[in-house]
Amino acid sequence: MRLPRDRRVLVGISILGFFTFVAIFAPFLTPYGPHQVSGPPYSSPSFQHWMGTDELGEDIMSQVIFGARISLTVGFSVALAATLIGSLVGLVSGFYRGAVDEALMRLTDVVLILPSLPLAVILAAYLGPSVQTIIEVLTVTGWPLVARVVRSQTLSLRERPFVDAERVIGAGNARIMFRVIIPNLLSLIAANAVLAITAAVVGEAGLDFIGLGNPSVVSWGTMLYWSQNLNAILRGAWWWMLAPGLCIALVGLGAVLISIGIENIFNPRLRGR
Amino acid sequence: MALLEVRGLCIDYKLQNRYLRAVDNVAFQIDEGEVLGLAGESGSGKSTIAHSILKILPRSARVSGSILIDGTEVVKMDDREARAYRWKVVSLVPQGSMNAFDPVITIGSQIVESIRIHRNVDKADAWRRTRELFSLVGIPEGRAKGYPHEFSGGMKQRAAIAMALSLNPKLVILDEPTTALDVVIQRQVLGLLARLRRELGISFLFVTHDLSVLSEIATKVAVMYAGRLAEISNSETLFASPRHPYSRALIHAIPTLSGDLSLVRSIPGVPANILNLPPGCKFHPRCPYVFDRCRKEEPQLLHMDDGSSIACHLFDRREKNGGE
Amino acid sequence: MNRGYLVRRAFYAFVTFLIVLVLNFIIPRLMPGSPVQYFANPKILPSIEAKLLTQRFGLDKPVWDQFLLYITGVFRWPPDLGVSYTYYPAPVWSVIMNYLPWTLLLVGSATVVTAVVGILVGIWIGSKQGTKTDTVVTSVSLFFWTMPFFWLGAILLWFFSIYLHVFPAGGAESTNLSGMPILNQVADIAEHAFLPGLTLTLAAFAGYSLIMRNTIVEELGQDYVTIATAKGLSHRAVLFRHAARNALLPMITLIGLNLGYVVSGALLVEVVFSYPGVGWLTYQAVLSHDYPLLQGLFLVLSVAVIIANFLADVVYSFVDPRIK
Repeated sequence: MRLPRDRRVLVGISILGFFTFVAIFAPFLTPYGPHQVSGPPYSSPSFQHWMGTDELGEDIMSQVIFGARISLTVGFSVALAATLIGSLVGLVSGFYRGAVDEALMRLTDVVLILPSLPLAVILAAYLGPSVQTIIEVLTVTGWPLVARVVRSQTLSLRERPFVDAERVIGAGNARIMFRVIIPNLLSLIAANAVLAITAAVVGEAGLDFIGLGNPSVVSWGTMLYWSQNLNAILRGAWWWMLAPGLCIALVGLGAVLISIGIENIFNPRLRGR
Repeated sequence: MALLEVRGLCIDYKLQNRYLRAVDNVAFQIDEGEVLGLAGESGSGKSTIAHSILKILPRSARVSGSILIDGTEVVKMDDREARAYRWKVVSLVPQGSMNAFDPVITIGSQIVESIRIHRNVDKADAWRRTRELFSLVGIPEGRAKGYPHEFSGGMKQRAAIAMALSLNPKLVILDEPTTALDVVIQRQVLGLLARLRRELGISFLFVTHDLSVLSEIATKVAVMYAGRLAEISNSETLFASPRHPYSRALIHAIPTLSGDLSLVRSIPGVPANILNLPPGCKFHPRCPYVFDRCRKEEPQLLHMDDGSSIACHLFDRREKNGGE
Repeated sequence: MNRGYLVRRAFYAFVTFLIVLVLNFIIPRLMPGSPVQYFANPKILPSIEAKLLTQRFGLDKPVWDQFLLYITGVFRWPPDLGVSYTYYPAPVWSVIMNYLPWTLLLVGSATVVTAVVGILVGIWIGSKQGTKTDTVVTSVSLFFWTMPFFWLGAILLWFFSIYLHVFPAGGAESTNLSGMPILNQVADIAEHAFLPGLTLTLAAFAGYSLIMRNTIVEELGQDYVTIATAKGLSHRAVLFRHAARNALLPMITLIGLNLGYVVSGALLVEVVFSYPGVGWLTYQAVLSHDYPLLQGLFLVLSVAVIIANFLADVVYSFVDPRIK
């Protein structure tokens, strides 16, 4: 019964696991350093350089491997931070309702409705180009979605009979929240957290791409920035854009697969009649 | 010839990769003007049977046996035949009439739709007929252009009945029509149904878990358990002296206004789970009269002298002659 | 009811607008460095201009005065949002207005096409839920959705433009357009907008199709769909006349909600294709630290999205009878 779904989750986990492994063991996986000039500039993929070289002659594959560290760091940190903040806000808002709920939700809605990129641009432009900035900015634009989702689930859980049962036996708010509501939210939060990884990795790439990241740091996003800035595509050096983008896409896909798996366990209607 | 004749009906549902038998070897018939009550707990298979008569089970479901409506065999119909057949001779008032209507289209339009699918009439005529149906079930004609959310529960139920009558069917299947209604509205709806039966001679197949409702309106009652028939008797016989241990337990579980409170009992054990049915008689784990044969051999539907049928070893003549 | 809903949504949009105004004002003033340095830097602008700007916006005065002057700048026509560093002496507003139309064209057409494609695909796989088609199409949609779309744009650019020479390599229109017949002009613009538009559509359609699919699946499980089938409607009629119409309602709100993302997406895609819209403008502004321009862009884009969302609410109120 669970096999088809499990396969997708397994694929997702393997993908993320693979990239994490690459990030951790980066120095052992490539003979070149990311900033080491090791070949002729703009050379297409070859035996010595599986993914070709950039405009300075640095090996692109090494950059991809080392870049995994930054990109995954951003991805995981933002996912964690945004999910934590968002879940907290959503939980408090949905559980206590009333004025607190109204206030928090107005705030959430505003951030949600604003086009995230212009907002991120504004914030990042002032905060200065760095990986830290990117993490902060993505977290700020990312938590509202989680808050919304968690709040709506909290609202519906609140109305369930087992919550009333707890009240009848005299349980206080804290107990209800921790013993009943949070355990039921975990799957939702987990699914969202994993999904947030996708958004964060793509978001990092986007912000770097537009010039808000630190161009001297090597990450998948900054690689895309440089290749765009130097018109790699127009020069025909497609491999420079292909590699980092493909990695981002794969990590994103892996995360989505895992989150679907988590969701499917708890929403049997979507599994098929 | 009976209006509806069901023989050896078996229905399997597909669950992930296996097939589960939801209905096993069910047989009954409904004559013109009769009201057959199909009673049982949730999951006993009664809604499944109702849906199979109209051929609206999910595509993956397997149906075998015979369902004859007015002599036409339903089980073997293909899609096109089924579409043409539906609603004309048999129609349905669904479980949860709260949701029987599409929320974004007016109720009148939906009734008009049911007419124009099958008959080549122009809109004006269809609307006229719709208003007639409304007054037939006791809803003010002016409400015909209203949306479902503008109707009360009881009115929606009536509207659903009106729609079911739009093509003058001979048999109307009602799936838990009174379950979501309060007793006052229930009364009204039952009264309406009785009147329709009298004036139009329609037969009803009344599916419900609420036996007390059946005692008012059914002429014959079929009790189901775990997808199998336990007992079919005419209404008076069943309520006065139920024979199958399950029917007995059900009847005795109904509290009466005047009766002795001590007679009210609930049925021990847990309801049968189709995913994990016991061997032999499916009711045996909860039966107070269980004996050895019950655990091994599934009882067949036996025909009694008074015309009723019971599936229980206790009533097997051979058993009566031989022992317990 | 209708009035109330719209008034509420309008009020809500207005409040959001006010919050955006305040945010736009506060953010630079929370950062290290003075507003003069950001908006009227005498090292970048000629000192006379810098002085004038400082005066006009009170950049060296207390925050409250600044805010007042800022507001008066915004609430006039044309809004006064300062002077751009890179496009000096052009005021921020006119610079943005020069580039905005191209973005509107791109985002507008992309939103429409994406919504249509997404909804149709969603209906299609929703009705085929659980089958291989469903799995394949869903996986493909997800694949496009999770990838960095601007990267997808680059790949498409390389493939169709550099490698195959089928589409132009950038820009919004060819330089020798004026004087050519209208049809040629339109065709030229369309040619230039095709690849960026395609990128946006491929990236975003899954956002609609997956949700539409799930909504359709839910609607297909509702009682009114069972009844519609029981009435004799064909599978296609049930799907489009009933299920899809209900599933479409939340889509309208979704289109509104997604606008923020589409705009963000368009920004990046414009950079890849050197498409002269506000996205490309933002890129230039970031590279040259043109803070006045960045502030102006944030304000204009946010307002555009707020307005579009409100319009979506208006459309929704006309379409959902429960709101009427």
